[in-house]
Amino acid sequence: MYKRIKKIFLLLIVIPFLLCGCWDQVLVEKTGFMTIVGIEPAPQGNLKLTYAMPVIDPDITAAKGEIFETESNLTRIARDNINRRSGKQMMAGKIQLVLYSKEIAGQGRIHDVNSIFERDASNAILAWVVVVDGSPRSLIHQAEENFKDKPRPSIYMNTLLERAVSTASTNETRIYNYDLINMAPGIDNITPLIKINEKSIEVKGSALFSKGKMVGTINAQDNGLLMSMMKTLKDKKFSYNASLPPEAEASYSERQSAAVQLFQNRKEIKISIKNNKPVVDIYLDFSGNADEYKWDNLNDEKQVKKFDDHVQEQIQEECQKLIEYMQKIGSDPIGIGDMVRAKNNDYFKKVDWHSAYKSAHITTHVKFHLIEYGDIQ
Amino acid sequence: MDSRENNITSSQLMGLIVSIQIGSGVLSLPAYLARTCGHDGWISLLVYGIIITAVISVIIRLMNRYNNKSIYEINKFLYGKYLGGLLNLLIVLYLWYSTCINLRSYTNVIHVHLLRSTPTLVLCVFTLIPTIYLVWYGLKYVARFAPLIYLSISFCCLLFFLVFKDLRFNFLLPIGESGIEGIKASFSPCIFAFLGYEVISVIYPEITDKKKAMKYAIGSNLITTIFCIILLVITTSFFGEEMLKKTLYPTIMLSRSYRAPIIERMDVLFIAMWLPVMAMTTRGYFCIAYYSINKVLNLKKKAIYLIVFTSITILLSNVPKSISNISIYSNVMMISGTLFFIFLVICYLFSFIRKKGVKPHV
Repeated sequence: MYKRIKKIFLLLIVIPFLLCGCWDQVLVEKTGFMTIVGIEPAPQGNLKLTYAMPVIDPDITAAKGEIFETESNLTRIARDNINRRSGKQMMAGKIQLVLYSKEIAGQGRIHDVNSIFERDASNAILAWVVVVDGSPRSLIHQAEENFKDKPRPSIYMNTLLERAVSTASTNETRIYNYDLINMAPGIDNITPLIKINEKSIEVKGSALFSKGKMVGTINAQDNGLLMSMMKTLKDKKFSYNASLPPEAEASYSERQSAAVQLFQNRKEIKISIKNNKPVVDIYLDFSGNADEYKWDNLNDEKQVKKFDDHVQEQIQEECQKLIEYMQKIGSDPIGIGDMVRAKNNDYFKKVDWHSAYKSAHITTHVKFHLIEYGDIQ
Repeated sequence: MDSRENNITSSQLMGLIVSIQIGSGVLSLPAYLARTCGHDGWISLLVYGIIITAVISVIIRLMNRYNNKSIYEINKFLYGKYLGGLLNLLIVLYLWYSTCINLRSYTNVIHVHLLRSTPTLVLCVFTLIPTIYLVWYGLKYVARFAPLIYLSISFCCLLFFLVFKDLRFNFLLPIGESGIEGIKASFSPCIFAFLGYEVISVIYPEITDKKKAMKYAIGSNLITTIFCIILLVITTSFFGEEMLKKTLYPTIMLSRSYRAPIIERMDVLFIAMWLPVMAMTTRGYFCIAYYSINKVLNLKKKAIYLIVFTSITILLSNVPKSISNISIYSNVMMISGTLFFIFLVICYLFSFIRKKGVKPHV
């Protein structure tokens, strides 16, 4: 009996090796890896979808891509449509970028379209969510056909966005964090905003959302300031374009401003409810390096103090303007609503946050101190 | 299985209980708790963790009152041959049922996340091969394999550490918003998460160092409670309450959301590391159900019965056809588990009235 059991076990151990890959095999040679998806609206509530896929073939030495276009009400059905045309089985596990047009973002359809990425575990939820100023289809075509001096479009755009995030020009938004922020009460999404130029793609800044719909945009410099208020500026190389104090301008009239690399030391947000309105004080503490200032006496304490005060005032003014803009469009990417929900929950439950946010009294308090100015005075 | 092959130490008991408790249930626990008590799931876990610790202490005390006897013999002392026999049969059925449900949950996770086209039946067969192998040799070997759970838990903790910078602790505030109602509502998922401790009542006679049993049994529940609380805090502050409610397996989703250099798909690695844990829950119940059948029915030809038992388990585990089906069947397991622990507490109290067989030895 014991020997028989041993034989059965041996057989059962051998079977997996014989059967491995029978059901779920994926042969790379027969698979088409979609890397970019462009989504824009089409008539009758449909979606106009564009898929970019690198051609993987030992006979083709140069980087070559294939583009598929289709129209459907669902992305999954669209993929099946493409599968009927493609020589390879299309798979979505390697998608790196999902490019949405401004119209789709404005209609608040991103969250619903994203659901397929969350539901199907074989899909990548780490793909970028990007809003395109213009048509994603035209962007994918131009990137594939015209950018001969650039790497494959997906690699090019991916590195471009990563670099833009590292310089605080835009925010990092992947599918999973877009979705969770979209559902979280009291906080709004923010995504990268890109535009195609003649010979390159440019990260313009960020798209701002309110209640899941895109409602506005900010440029790259404002994005850096917003990141400081969101406390995500740490480890970023944010170069702030600061105008010079009047005296300095007088001495060096040809130079109007200085490039200062900002480092965030501290961020604190104090919230209270007064007269049934949120009163918010945002305290920001920066230090900075003067990367470009031309020739001057930056070793002079008085000069540095003047410079500090001027930059401080300027940052505060710009932060305040940015806050006012975001209040006007009803977008709260800082998550002030989330803080109110956490600390003044009764108040949060009582009001419609987006209305209360618009009438909130938000003040920024900025401190700046120059710490380094390079090898010259 | 001869008696020595089933002998385990108290520390092995601890590993066995932890591995049964932390299995596939932990993968969906944050989502169930978010649905019942919002972002306060960790408070509920703490409360129920303390309650379960008290229950474990009652079980050990009950076992200590009867020298070297399992719940099967105790039932006969307390309720007589026929009623005791019927109760024993119900316990065996509960353990068998738990085996089937855990096996089905395990294959479901593999189905959703790894092998979508592979038939469930095939997954069940291959899942059970190492289990049958270990069970063939006895409880001791299953218990020796169980400490592997600590490796998987460590890997899970590493994942928590890696996602730490992306956490928003504001998502946990305001603390206690769901109140007592929330704690009451989270009874089912919490009890389900802790199920596994009840096997002590079955395998207690096999423990060689019974004096340490209480310490290690409570220790196992402590590990489970702490791990589950950390898991809850991390997943809630990562996803937020609203997103958690929508997800099915937040722990796997967490691994999908981490962008790891080189590895790229962290979820595949996570599932690979978590497979032994999920399999251990099934293995633990499988082994103890088989052990119980042998003990209650006093079977001799163990090879034949092991094959019959395995075949029936595989067939029964295929009864739930969908995810919603699995959750209905799991709910039955939770209710049965709750009734079982209430029953054990009643046995303890009843043992003071009907003192037949009571021989305290510790």
